[in-house]
Amino acid sequence: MIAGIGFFIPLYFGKIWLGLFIALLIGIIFLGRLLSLSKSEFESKVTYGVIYGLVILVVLFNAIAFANDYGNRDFQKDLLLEIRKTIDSGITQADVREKLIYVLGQYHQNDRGSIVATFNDTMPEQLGEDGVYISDFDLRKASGDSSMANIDDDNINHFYEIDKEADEIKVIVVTDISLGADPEYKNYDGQTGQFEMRFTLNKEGVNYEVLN
Amino acid sequence: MKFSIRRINEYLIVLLLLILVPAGLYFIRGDMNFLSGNLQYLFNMRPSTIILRFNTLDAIAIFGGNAPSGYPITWETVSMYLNVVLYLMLGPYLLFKGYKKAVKNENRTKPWYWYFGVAICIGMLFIVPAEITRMYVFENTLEAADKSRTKDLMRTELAEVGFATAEYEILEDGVDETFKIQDLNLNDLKFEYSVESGQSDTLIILSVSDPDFPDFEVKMEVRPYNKRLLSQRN
Repeated sequence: MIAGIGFFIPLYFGKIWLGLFIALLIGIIFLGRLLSLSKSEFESKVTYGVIYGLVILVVLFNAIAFANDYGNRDFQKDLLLEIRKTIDSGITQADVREKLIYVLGQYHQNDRGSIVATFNDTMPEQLGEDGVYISDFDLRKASGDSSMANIDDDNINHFYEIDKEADEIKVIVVTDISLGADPEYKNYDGQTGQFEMRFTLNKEGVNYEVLN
Repeated sequence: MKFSIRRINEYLIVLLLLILVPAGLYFIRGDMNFLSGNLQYLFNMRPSTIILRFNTLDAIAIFGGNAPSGYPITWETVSMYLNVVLYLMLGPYLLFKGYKKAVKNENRTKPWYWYFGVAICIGMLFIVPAEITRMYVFENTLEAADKSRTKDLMRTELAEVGFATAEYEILEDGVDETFKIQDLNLNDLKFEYSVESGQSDTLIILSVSDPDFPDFEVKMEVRPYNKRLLSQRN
């Protein structure tokens, strides 16, 4: 009964580890009390010693199991988020950085006068309204690509800024799922603590920075 | 010497339980689970695995951009409480109660519930091999995750080198037969790189390797003036 109250009240408030800890603690106290009560009932000291040893073993392994599982409670989440960050970063590099280097190549190969003009001529479809950079995912989705039919959103937000005077284009990418290093960081799109990258293209090259 | 048939029968029943309980637990926990529905959760001597299962489902939801569901009060979460009651309270209690009754009995006959207590306590002891197995499996999981992480780092760093090579060619027309990765002036490269022979300024083939993983190598084709700049292959 006490174990039940100790388990279900924390569970109701979402504190499932606390609930299990209380239930286990009460279970172990019960087991210890039962063992001490039974001492006088055993005729053989050897039998009591064996039972005592087994109870200690069970209590010890319950504690180890709980401590191990509690210590590794976020292992899967951390691992999956790390994988997601690698994927987000890889997709963005392939999508944005490749294009910016292609524009850089076109600029230098054809002796163009302006990086911004070269970008506008070679990749006009990427530059959306209100500073929104249209990613490959968005373009393929909009064109009705069947391989995108089951994916609603890639959870990666792209933006751009053009500085005509400096002849420079910046593409800022913020992810909805992958977390950045600083949980308090204010992201470009208004989110907080998310993974954010910035690519800067000018005639000197393409600069890649992880802002958070 | 006189043997009590009743005592021998008791030993035989306990021996039978020592075989049947582990066998039953083995089948319940494996592919040959014969219990219907979610009854199997009753026979879980490590209740925290249920929480880890919820955490994994939440992690998958977050990975896919969905909201985590948390810890709902369901049969699975309730079964955790029942596990504690069954293995740490009810089983030992029945064993003790049955023993106490048998001691007072002239023939020392064990009541039926004593056998239930024995069966539950045998199950309770299974936390020992279950936890040892879990620790071993987790070590292997960590090792596999480490290997996978290193492979990802190799691919990521190779892409970085690939982009730098493309820029080096575009900006400095620097890729020729004498080109080396050191020409890129990239600091803190963790892995070993080589530029494969036969390259030209329109197709450069790079490869990355790690002496700690001699069986794993990734190659990358770099086409500096192409829209599809990098293509990686294992």
